Amino acid sequence: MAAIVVTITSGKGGVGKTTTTANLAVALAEDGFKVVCIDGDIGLRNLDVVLGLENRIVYDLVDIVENRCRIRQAMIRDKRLEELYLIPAAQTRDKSAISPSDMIRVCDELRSEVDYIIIDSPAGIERGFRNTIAPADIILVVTNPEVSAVRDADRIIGLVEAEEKGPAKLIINRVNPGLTKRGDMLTPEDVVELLAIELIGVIPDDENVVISTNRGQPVALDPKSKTGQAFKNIAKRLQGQTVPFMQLDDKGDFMSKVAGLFKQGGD
Amino acid sequence: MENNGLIQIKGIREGLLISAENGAWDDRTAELLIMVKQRESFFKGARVCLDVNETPLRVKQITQLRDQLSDLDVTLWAILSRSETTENNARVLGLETALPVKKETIESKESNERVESAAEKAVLVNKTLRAGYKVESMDHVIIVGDVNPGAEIVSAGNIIVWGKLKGSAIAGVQGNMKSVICALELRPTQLRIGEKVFPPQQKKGKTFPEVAYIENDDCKIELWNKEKGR
Repeated sequence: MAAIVVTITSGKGGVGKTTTTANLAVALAEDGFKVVCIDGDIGLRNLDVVLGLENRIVYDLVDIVENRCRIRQAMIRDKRLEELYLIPAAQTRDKSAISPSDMIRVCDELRSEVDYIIIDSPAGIERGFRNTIAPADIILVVTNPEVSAVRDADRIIGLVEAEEKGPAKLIINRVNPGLTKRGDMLTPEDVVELLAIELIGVIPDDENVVISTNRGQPVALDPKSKTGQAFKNIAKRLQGQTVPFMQLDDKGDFMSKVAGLFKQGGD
Repeated sequence: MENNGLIQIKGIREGLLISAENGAWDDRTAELLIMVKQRESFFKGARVCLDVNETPLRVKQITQLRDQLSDLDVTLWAILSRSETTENNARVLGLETALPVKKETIESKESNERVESAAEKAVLVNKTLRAGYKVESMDHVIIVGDVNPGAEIVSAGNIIVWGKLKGSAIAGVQGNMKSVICALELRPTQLRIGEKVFPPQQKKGKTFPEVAYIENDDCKIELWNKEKGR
């Protein structure tokens, strides 16, 4: 096995990086892959909370880097899915506790043992961002259909290109079909047109995500959730499958338009 | 360890200024890294500004050095260079390209010398400028691609965008009021020619290629028209 390292990043905070990381990891693990998530947000860890593994942390990423434990010891196995693991961030340190080459070393060591390594990036474009970008094979940029989030996503995509890690792929989170239809929110088409990168997922705005996040039960675990399905579709697309974009709006057809727009634009 | 004298270090107000102006790039970085390792306690936690003089550096070369230094707990925060390639690449990575004080003296010196030659050369940027990217040149600037909101172009001459101009554009920055800004789609965040700031405009629907210029001290925007012979 040679793992694929996927880094989830955004620039702006609060757009759903951690939620996306957790759900994508769950979806890939449900598809039978061995998945490790790494929380790259040293000092402000929360991937453990979203995955509901908070109370089982003994060692963390900084312990691995500073040789206080082996990687195996810091990998927390998920209770629900056999093949899902988490390497948590340290809470009491900051971003400078690890360097980009530390991250590359940790990922290289894991590569032979797992199928996917999913890294949750901190907000911002400083050290923490560079740490999480360094080992990545695929970079997924999460944004919301808001002007400020799209602006930051654009900046991040530029930085990813500059680091010669591109092209990044795009996830648009918290799309509200009602608002977009009334013209009060950017449509996914608008976002894709501005950012001009490949769209890999559109996630609807869903209050159940808040509830599940608080409970530590990612929505992707719920077979009935539409939002969970949207994350599972991203997991499928990551594996190279072609999955049509979900119809978010009962009447609307803009999702198919987005898919069409992208097909024209990207070749 | 041999020391070839490729590196000079001095303390400045902002931290350390390291001059590595000559020699092969790999030799310079190797010597610098050795020097940092040898005097680990001195360099630990340092903020470093690197002067590479005329060396054109690729993004990869800068990121590599930055990450190597970062492993040794040294922060690279600025790169000084006479090469525009290096300056632009450093800026893309969010590094400074001038010392805060020095900047003004360089600019004022150059402004006298270079206004006349401003109409001769052009910089061609063959990609879309994303947010945070800044192209700054004493020559004309031509962009083949879009200029996204949050990106900025500063030129002493004209600015031509073969794409959508949605970011900021400043032409004739040193006072050449004959400068023009044109784009296939002109929807800028801000438009300036010299000191003149164009009033913000609301546009809806389809747009056509337009040119912005100053006439009798007024800001004008017109549809691109080849008969005008501009």
